Amino acid sequence: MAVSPLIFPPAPADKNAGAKLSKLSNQGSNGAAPEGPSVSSGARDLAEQMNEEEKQKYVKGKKLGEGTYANVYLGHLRDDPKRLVAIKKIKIQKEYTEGMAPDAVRELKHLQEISHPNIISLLSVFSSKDQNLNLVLEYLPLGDLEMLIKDVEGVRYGAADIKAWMGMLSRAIWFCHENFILHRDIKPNNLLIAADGEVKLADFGLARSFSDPYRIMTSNVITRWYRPPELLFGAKHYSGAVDIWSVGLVFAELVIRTPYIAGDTEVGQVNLICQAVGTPTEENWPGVSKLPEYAVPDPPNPIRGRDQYLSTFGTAGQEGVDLLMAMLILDPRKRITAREVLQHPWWASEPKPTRKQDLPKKGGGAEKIGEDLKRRPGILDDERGAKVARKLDFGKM
Amino acid sequence: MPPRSRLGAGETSTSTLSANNPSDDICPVCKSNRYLNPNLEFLINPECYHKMCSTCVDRIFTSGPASCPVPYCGKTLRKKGFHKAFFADLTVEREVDIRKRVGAIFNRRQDEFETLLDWNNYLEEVEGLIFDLVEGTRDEKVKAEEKLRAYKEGNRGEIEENRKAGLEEADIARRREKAEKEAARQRRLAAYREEEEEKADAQRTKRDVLDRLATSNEDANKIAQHAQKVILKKTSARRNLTDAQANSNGSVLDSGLTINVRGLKKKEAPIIEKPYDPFGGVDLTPSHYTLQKDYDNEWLGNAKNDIRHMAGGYSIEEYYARTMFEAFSGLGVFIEDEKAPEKTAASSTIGTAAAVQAAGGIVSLEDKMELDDVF
Amino acid sequence: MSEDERYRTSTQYRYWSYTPDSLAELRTTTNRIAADRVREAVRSAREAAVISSAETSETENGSRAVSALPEGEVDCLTVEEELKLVAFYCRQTIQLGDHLKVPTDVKATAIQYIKRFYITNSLMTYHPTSILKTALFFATKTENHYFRLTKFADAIGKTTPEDVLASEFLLTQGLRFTFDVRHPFRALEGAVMELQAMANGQISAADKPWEGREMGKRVKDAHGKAREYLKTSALLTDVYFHFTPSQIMMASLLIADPDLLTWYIGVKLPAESMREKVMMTLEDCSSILRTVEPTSQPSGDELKELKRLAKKLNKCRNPEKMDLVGLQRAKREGEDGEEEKAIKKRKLEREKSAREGDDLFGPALTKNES
Repeated sequence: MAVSPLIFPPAPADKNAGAKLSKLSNQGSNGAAPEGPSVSSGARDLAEQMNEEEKQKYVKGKKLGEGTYANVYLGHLRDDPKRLVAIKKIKIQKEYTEGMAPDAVRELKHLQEISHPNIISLLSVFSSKDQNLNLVLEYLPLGDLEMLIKDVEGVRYGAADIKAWMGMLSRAIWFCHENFILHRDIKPNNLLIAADGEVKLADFGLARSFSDPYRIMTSNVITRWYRPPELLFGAKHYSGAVDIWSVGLVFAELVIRTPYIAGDTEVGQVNLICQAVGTPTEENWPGVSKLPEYAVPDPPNPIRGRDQYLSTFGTAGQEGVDLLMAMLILDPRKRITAREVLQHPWWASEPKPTRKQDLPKKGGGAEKIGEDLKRRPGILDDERGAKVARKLDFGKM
Repeated sequence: MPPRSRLGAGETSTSTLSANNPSDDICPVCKSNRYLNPNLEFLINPECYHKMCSTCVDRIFTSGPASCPVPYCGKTLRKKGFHKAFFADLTVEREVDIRKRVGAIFNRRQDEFETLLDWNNYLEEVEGLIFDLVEGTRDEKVKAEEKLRAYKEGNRGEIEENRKAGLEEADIARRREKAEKEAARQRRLAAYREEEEEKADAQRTKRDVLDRLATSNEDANKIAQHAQKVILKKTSARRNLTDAQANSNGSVLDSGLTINVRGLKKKEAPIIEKPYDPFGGVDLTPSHYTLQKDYDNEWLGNAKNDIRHMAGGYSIEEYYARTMFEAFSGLGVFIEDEKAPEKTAASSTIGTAAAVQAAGGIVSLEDKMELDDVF
Repeated sequence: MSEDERYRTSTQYRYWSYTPDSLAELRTTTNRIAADRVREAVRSAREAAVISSAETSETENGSRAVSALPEGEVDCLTVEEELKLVAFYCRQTIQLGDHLKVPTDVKATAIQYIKRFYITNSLMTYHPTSILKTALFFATKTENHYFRLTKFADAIGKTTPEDVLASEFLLTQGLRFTFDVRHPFRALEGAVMELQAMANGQISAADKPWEGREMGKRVKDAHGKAREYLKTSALLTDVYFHFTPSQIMMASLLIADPDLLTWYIGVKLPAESMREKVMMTLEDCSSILRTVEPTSQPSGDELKELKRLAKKLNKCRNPEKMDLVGLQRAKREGEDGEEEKAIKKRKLEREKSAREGDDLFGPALTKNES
């Protein structure tokens, strides 16, 4: 087809804006108007035409997973059936009557802007006829880190592998923070694995940009087991440190192959943190007692020492344990930052991180990416369906 | 020189009709036919693909180059250029020749391409070129020849590399096949030998038992049991041994191969052994400013002293970083220049560019461009 | 990646940056297509009305829409007229935002949404009063300053939640599902903090022409003035489409204190060619900013003109797109209850007119749809 019905450059990689424009303008100045694309397609808006064009680029295949928040389909490029994509179709939520759902708004806003090898790529967005949003995401067929961690029998991995995975996770979160985005839902099953072994951070349904001073944020984010103490205490002004705590717990979980601090309730989570890491007090964290929901069990536990960490996480090596401890510092202002994580001596120490193509794999397959992408953000797997941890809500953002 | 494809009417029909067509049996030059001369043999010259019988070739070209006797052809032909056609259909013969020629120049391999799509695009391009050479008008042919020549000029080194790689690959395949055959033969031999030995052992033990039974006064049952154990032990020991041999055999075989494989992969070798960069090669150090630890700002005073900001871990440093970044991000981006139509009209693969970009993130877009530049 | 390369990865650069010429072309095309469609829709609506009134009149809705339309050729808005109206409604958005007490970035984002939306959509198709409410509401979502929908609708007055939501999907589609808008406000804070640090000697700067305290005062004054330009002029002109937030911010400082800014750019960009290029760009940007002074309000004549245009707009609206709430309901539910009958009927008419449109343009269509 010689004449494109688009006025706009339709793709993100858009060095092409001008090409399309000039075509159309030529048409106009030729006096050949109003023929052609726009008018002849009847009552359709330009935006709808553009949408249609985008939609036509992909073929939706079988359903990979179904959830309350979204369904996920396997798809491929119409031009190249070998090029697979995952199509995440956001459901219209009956209980959310205020228009486009907050998860979708956040996910779109941030994924549209960010491009990094360790962050899932949003290839395209289009709407289907019933006004459902479809996010075309890169297809990551090898499951997620949680699967690898859980399959203790089937998947063996060592310190070099952990270092490689942690490296990819740390890069992802560093890049988010450098772009002033808080992810706010880091956990092993949001870390998907590409065919080449690359780990990619997914699910930006709870993400937001850094808050300016005096603007409050909700503390009701991050799946409980990975939620840092400041959020459990109801802090409304926080920083990238919240993500680092989650990264630290993913690190711990990779080493011991079971969630390190897995509380049943928020109170239980605080209690477990006090046992595993130490009790937050005014001494180790000035001001903590002023946080709105500060409550800790009595008597306080001292901060866990290096030797205790070494006995549990020794496989990570001396430097690895140092890094883990720096990520799990209670006071968020003293916690290590994403950039400092990447500057840590652990990366240069032995063993060298495994090359991504040599990392242990497990045939996760289509079903698993379906599971991962359809999930509502911020919720533990075993809670899904039963009781929703919290209602997603802009009101407290 | 482009082979001119003015095949005579006779040949065209040859190509479309079956073998018992009479024109297959009549020399278009001297009109002698198979009926009279059963030994009639036809030759062609890839300069023009006009066929004629071997007698005519001898007659016309033995004394040196001469022009093709087919009317209006006029190509200068040499005797040594003539050969028997492999295909009865000369258009096929010609196409195969052209493909061989093009294939020797456009000899890229799939693993050189970033994505399947790129590889397919390349194949399509080549196929288009071949089509022009085979079926195109005279102009198209000239153009296609020109393209071919230009590509050959521009990619001499890579063509040669790929040619060598191709030879090497064939060589490896041949060796592997040979090695596999040899290994299979060894396995068969070993199995045979093992069986023989087992038989001999059993025989020997049996004899032993008989001897001992005859010469000693031990319990017959015990002797028999012991004998059984000995047999088992020997068998398993032998098995371990052969396993070990097989393994070492395998590794010998492997190392014999990997030498060659390594040679093949030489191209990539320098990339692999980089030291680990935790930042993954991404450098976001600002170029226009140096971030300070702290700035004077009345408006921030309250936040700096607010216990809730501080206890929650709010980071004024992150705010500084963001304000400074935004102050300079895009200062040197000139939309008027960069978004001007003539600047942006270059590429045409809008749809897939997104996917390509996605596949490799930041890095791969540049690679893609490089590949495009090949054409 | 430098700061500039990183800006090039933003959707604001990739999708929403144009040269003045290409932007004008886009708007012209949009206007032309919309006008054609209005004429076409009115024509077919009239025909339908004639047919149905001949049958008996069950199609009250349809004929009412038609009877509101004058006989004869429809007088459509020109591109310039549309732009004047958009500018006016952007001002209205600021006022509405002030009324709702939302922060500056919410208002600014809403305005960019409106401006972006009307690049590919015409006011004749979608009336700005409904779009602006939706844009402001949606901006409260994307800028993390959420308003409960019912509260939002109540606060505006004479608006139902359904009104606000009716065009939300249209808006997001028109925005091509890119919601991030890069503003110059935070950038200004950054530059001002750095200038203050230079004034008080925390950052050393060679050839500082002012003594510390004097410079501090200059910076403070410039800050206030520049901020006013960013809060109004930058939003009401097209600078977001033609310049980057950094440039817009620097241009506002250039207006506020030319000496200070020129010196600052000199310190930051020692290479002469780059410095000159940037200064030229900032001059261009500031001259556009100056076309709408921060305190200026439309004059009496301009208001008169705007009233005329608003009236004109009411006479050339696309009858198919007037009832957005109804359209949205029809799209979402696709079922026909009692009240949706009229909508369904109109939908049929629309399809019919689309079919007729096909015939009208004949073979060109099949080519385009293949």
